[in-house]
Amino acid sequence: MAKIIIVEDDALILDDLKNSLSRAGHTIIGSFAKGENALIDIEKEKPDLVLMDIKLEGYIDGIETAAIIKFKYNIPIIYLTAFSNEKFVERSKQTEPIAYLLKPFSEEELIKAVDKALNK
Amino acid sequence: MNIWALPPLISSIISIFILLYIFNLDLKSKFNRIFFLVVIVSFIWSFSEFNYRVTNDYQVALVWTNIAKIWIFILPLTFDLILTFVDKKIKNKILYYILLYLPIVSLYVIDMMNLVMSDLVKSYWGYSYIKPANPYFNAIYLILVTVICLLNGFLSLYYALKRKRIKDFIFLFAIFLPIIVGILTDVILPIFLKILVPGLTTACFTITFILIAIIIKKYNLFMPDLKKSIETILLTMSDALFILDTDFKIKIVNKSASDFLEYREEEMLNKTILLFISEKSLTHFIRMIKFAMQHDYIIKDEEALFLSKNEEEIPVSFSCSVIKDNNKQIIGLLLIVRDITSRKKLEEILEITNESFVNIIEKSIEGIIIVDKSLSINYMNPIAKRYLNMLEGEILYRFPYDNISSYSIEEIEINIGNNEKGIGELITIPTKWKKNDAFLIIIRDITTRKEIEKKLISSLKLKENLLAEIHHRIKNNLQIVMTLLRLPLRFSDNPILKSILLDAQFRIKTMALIHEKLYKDENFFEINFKDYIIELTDFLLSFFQMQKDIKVELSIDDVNFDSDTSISCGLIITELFTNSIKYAFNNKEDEKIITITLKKENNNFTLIYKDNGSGLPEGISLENINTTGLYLIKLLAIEKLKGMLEIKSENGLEYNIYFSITDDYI
Repeated sequence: MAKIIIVEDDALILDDLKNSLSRAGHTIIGSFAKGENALIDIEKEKPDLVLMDIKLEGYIDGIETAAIIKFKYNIPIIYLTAFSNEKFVERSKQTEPIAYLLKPFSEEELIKAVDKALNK
Repeated sequence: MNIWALPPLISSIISIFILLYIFNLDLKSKFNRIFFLVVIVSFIWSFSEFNYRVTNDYQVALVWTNIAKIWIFILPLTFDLILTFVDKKIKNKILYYILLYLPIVSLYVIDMMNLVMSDLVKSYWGYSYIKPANPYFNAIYLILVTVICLLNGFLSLYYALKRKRIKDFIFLFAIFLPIIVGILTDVILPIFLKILVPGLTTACFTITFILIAIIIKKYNLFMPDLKKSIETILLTMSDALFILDTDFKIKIVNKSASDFLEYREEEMLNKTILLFISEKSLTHFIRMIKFAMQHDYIIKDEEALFLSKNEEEIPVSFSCSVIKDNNKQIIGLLLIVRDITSRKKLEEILEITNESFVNIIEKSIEGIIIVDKSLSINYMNPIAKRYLNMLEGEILYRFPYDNISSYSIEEIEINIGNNEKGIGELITIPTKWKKNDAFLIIIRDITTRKEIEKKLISSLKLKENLLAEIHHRIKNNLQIVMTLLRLPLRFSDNPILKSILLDAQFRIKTMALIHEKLYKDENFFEINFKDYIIELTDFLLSFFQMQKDIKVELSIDDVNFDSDTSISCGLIITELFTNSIKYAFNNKEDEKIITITLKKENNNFTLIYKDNGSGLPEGISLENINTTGLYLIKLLAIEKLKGMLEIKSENGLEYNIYFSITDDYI
């Protein structure tokens, strides 16, 4: 099973994600509400997958954080977002994400997207 | 009656008619007078010839032949007529007339003394002279007559060839005809060939007169008499005419003058013209006419105010020139005065109109410029000068924007005062200026409008962003709701609870998809229903695809619904879809098909959901509902959509929902 880091600033959603992924057999090695904190941990832990919210609490947003993760460590990324307009998609595309999970998403959608990312 | 007497008789009658014709035209012209005399002489001659041809009495014939001797005066008169016809000026008239008439008078006297012809002889055409009396006088007479005739002939031939005009050639023929016939019948035939023939000269002269009369008529040769013409002009001219002496006293005045000043002619004569001029323009008038006299100058179209009898001022334009005698001494002044009251009134109206027009244009808040095709400025109002940032008194010769074209509208930078820049709208309209093609350019200050537009756009953008943010937050919150719904499942394995919470998640997802579409398409009020149903069924299929192998067929008309209608229809489809998947196909081995159809007819819609499953479970009908799903469907179809619900359970299950929507949302 995979080592996953989640970057999400909403505690309830974060908890639900952790629960769903754990039950699916994955290990959550870290969860963060700020992009800059996540980057420090990723440097150390080298996860198999990062789930990334776009709107974050810190100085950098999810896309900026994802860009660093992608080009520094080449770790696959799944975006979790309520954004779906063209401007966002165009911007986020440059970080070559594996998938977009548009909020609200079901547990089944989440598991399916994670499996797809890890099998790729 | 002797038939040979007829030609002179006809000639004399025609001569009378010609005389009357000329008399009626004008006897004051020189040509007219000479021609009149020629015809009179000719008439006497032909009438005498008729009489001595028709009579059998020798004595009577003798009297008439003596009268007929006057014919010889036709020769100098014809010569004079030719010179008058060609307008030849004679310098020494006395010598001219002596030279012309003295030989003829001499010949006439000789003839009257019976020194040319001897006696009368009666021939078959009547009495005539045959034999010469004194051979010397006879020879002199004949030679002189022939010479003058030939002189007349050559003179007219010379001018005809020189001037080469048709009327000159007709005149030449008219002169030549009696000369040739006369010389032939009266000289060559009887004297040289000894053949006696009746004279036809008078008849030929008649033809001559007719031809001359035709020329007179056709070419209007009679010039009107100058004095008579002047009198007519004075009487009929609309302008007032005054002839003044050197003391400015009125000597002659025409009818128009007395009409417009309302004085009788005698009231004006011998009075100074200055009495009839308003004090306001007296100095100017005196200066003008004195200038005309001192410098022999023609004053034209000067304006002054004349005074009528009832002291009313009449605006006039006057022209003035001096009149001189033969010694070139100034003897008076010719003053022509035109009443310009109407013109002045018109000018006044025009001036007022023009003033108003200029006032409007000059005070317009829009810049107005007229440029010709080469973009040279013909006119610009003050505000246009300000917009184009011109200094006070500066003249701009060329319009500073090159790319103007008819009916174009473009935005330019303008000066809106105090060196502040603004935005101007430059409108170009083709027009005419002083009869030439030109452009009317209007510059309108749209700075404020642009600022408002900018604010509006900014405000609109802000609202759009806010709406996008709201939709984003709704979706985020829906995720939290779904999370909360999943939370109890962590602590319970109850399958019924799991099913209820799963259904609730589907319903939330159905609504979230609406927000997703509204937000994504940036149309915050309506969504394309077909696209929405495709995404919804994709989601549902994707969720259930590991469990079921179901084929979904969609036939949805292209319509846009507002979010409320979309949510209602979406929830109905979600409920029916999950029901079909959960219950309808449980024991089905062959192909499982779900068909969703939306038909639009005007404002009426039919939503049909159909599956080929096991149909409605026994004991369940619209009247007897005992499931949440069916209750929700009925609630949405009847209460929310204000429609009708129909359920059929043949070869599966079929739901027909009929509803209408106002135009606002279609």
